[in-house]
Amino acid sequence: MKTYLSELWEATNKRVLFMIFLLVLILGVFDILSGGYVLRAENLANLFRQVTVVAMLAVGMTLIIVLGHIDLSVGSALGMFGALTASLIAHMDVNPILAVIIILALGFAVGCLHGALVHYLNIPAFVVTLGGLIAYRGVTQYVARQSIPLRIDWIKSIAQDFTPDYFSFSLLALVIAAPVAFTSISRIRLKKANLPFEKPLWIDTLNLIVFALASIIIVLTLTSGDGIPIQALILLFIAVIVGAIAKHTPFGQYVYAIGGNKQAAHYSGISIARNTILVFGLMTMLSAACGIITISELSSAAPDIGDLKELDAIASCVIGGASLAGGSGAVGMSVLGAFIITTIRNGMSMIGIVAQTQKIILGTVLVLAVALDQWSRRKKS
Amino acid sequence: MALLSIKNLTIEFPGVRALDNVSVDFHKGEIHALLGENGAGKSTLIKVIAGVWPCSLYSGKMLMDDMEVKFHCVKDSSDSSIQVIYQEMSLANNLTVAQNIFLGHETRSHGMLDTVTMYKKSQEVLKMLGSSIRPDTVVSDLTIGEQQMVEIAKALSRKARLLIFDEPTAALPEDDVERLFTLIRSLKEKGIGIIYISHKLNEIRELADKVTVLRNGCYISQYTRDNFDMNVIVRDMIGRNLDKVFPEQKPFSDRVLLKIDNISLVSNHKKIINSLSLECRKGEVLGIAGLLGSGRTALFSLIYGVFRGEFNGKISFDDKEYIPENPAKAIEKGIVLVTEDRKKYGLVTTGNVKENMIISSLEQFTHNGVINEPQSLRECRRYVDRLRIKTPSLSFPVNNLSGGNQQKVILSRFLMVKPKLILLDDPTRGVDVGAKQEIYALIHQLASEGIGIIFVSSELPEVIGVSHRILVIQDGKIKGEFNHGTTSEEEVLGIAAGVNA
Repeated sequence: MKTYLSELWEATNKRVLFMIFLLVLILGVFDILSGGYVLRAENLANLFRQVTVVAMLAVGMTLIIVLGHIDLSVGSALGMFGALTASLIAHMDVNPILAVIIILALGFAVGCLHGALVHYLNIPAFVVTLGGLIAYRGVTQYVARQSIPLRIDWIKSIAQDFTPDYFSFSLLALVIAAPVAFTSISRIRLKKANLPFEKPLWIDTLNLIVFALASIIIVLTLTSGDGIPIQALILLFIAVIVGAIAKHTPFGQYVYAIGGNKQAAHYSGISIARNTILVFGLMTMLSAACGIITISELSSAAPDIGDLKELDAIASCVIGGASLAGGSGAVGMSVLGAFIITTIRNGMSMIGIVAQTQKIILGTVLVLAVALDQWSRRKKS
Repeated sequence: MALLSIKNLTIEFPGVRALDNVSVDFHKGEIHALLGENGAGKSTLIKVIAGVWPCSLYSGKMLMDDMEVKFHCVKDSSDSSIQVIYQEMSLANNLTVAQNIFLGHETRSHGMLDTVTMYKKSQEVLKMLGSSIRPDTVVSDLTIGEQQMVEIAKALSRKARLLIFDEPTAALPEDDVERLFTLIRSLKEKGIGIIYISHKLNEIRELADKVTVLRNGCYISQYTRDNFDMNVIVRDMIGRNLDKVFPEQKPFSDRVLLKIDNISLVSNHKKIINSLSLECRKGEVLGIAGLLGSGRTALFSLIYGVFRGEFNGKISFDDKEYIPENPAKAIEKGIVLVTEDRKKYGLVTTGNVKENMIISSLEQFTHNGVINEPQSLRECRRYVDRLRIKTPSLSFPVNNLSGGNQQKVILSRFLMVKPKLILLDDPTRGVDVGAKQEIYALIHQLASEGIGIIFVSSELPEVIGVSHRILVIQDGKIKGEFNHGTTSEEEVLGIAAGVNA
């Protein structure tokens, strides 16, 4: 009686395929409009560098939104922790490695504070993080009131360097082989246990092929230039880890359950406090990491770094299909959303659209994307 | 000539044909009951009549006074004098009675709201219904019975030739039920056609003039009052003969599992539970009978650690002292609670069947920090088979299951943690006859495995029939204790109502 909703599966895949198709379309259109500049190796590398921070923030923001909350402090936290890192290294002569560790730990702690305020004092996350947005920007502007130069080479290389070719191709092999291996193992285990709970083989194969092709094209293009930006590796690593945590660990399931129905989750024995605090802690820690990446890119800390980045992160999640009501959303989809936003921005820059107009267009695109999403959901029901 | 005539109605949704060539007539001045198990098509039929499912979604015809009608939306149906009173209240809690009654068709004078007229008209309608509720009361201050009265007033304030009641007594205290029946009869006298849906067969027997039975989306049979035979009707509903309603009871052990000693719970300066003591043994099905507000749900909240207020007294579980703190701790000790309000406290509505089942027992399936998918799926399959849960797949959204199946999913969740004591709060609320029986049998099967079960329900026949021992709670205290087979509904109700000492 295999009346299981293969339509549902198809719908899930359709969204991913649609977003990828959209991405390709956007790249193609802008490439033509810009006379072939968009799809060049150096622009693609730029694209990856531009997307990293937004996508990493979107990864953390996905969990926050799934949990049913929001985090507006993300951009200011990025700025604050970036500035503090630069200050620790340049002004206080702290060992750079130590500085990074301290800042990441501090980021986690501040995030946990957000979570604690939200849970124990019942202050809406919107309010707590709005306070953070304002306050942390103040800290940033004070600490970095005079631009702090960053002279540590290895930190600079995070955002400014690339991987050597042998590394890039090894990575490519891994990136293609790993999903194939995981999918095969999973299907074999399910078949052995006689369980019919899997996507049809053709959908799995199609996914793997598309993914492999995309990876090959991207890596080949990048290696024909300077290589893969190191930032992108960090993004890949973070997205994969957090995505796996969200889908395959109890913590991930608890986050989705709490976002779906907090009361029911509580009655099921889940600790709302622990999971809320952890999700917020993770988010701000990621913001801190992005702060470090940002100062690496600029080789300095300025008072306005990270400004409004939270909006990009939220937009990425929303375009990726996360529901602001909580309970649904996916890390991978949010990263795709970040790519879509960034490629549109990047493309607009390449064809000479000024920043002001870009904002108008992006705002419109965001609303259109969600309208399209809601419309297709209504059609489904 | 029929008031509303349904002809050859067929409607399909992905994966299921909800109604298959159904034809039925409804007449004015007649109380017509719709019966069927969950998933039989009753709600779907009502949604078609009410215009929730527009005419574009189905094939077949609807005729009113022999003229075809096509409803594109709820407003069309409402404008045709068809009103529905739903199971889940559709009132705005923060508005007044009058505001709610006129919601959507407020009277105006000079472009502004004419509150005086609305107040007067509300008063008229409420008086006609025999109610003394003041139209300027805020709805959230009313009791559930009064809120339902407002819903009915709201329906009648628009023209209503056909009134549909969907499970109206599910959340209603006993005396309000009688009031409701009197009201429905008087509406019938006025010539209004009534469609009545309920799982409570004794209500149907008392109230209905005609009964139509649906099963699996098909029309099965129809009976008039003079030839109501409940056994035949039930057999039509479930498609097989109903065995003896309550399962045979097995003996249970002497070992005391849960011992509650003189506890009290004070909340908002009210003593909700007052010097209450009880014992539950391993393998015993202990029933607690009591009216709404008697403290039975509070007792469960207390044991499970979700209460608000101050708690005094001693509880021991499995021979060790037990201080309730939160559900996680209770589950750890082996105590689980299946709540009465599954939409609010039970289901993660954004999840599917599998996710809802494994959520409390994830540690079992987690190795090296990662969840073992095949293992969890296997376990879920076991429970789907064991509890006979009707779902197209484990990835089916749990929101789309029928009430009985949702209940079974939640039950599975709590069985997966291998409990020692199960607290069941109104487990058969909104569940059809066939599934009810399955739940009773399951209760006794679990009891025979040595699990203690404390079972609370507002349906007295259920509590009396299923339990090994029955406690009667009134005003936060245990006022009566009976062994199986030694008491009657009247006696228990008397004690529960505080009539007999």
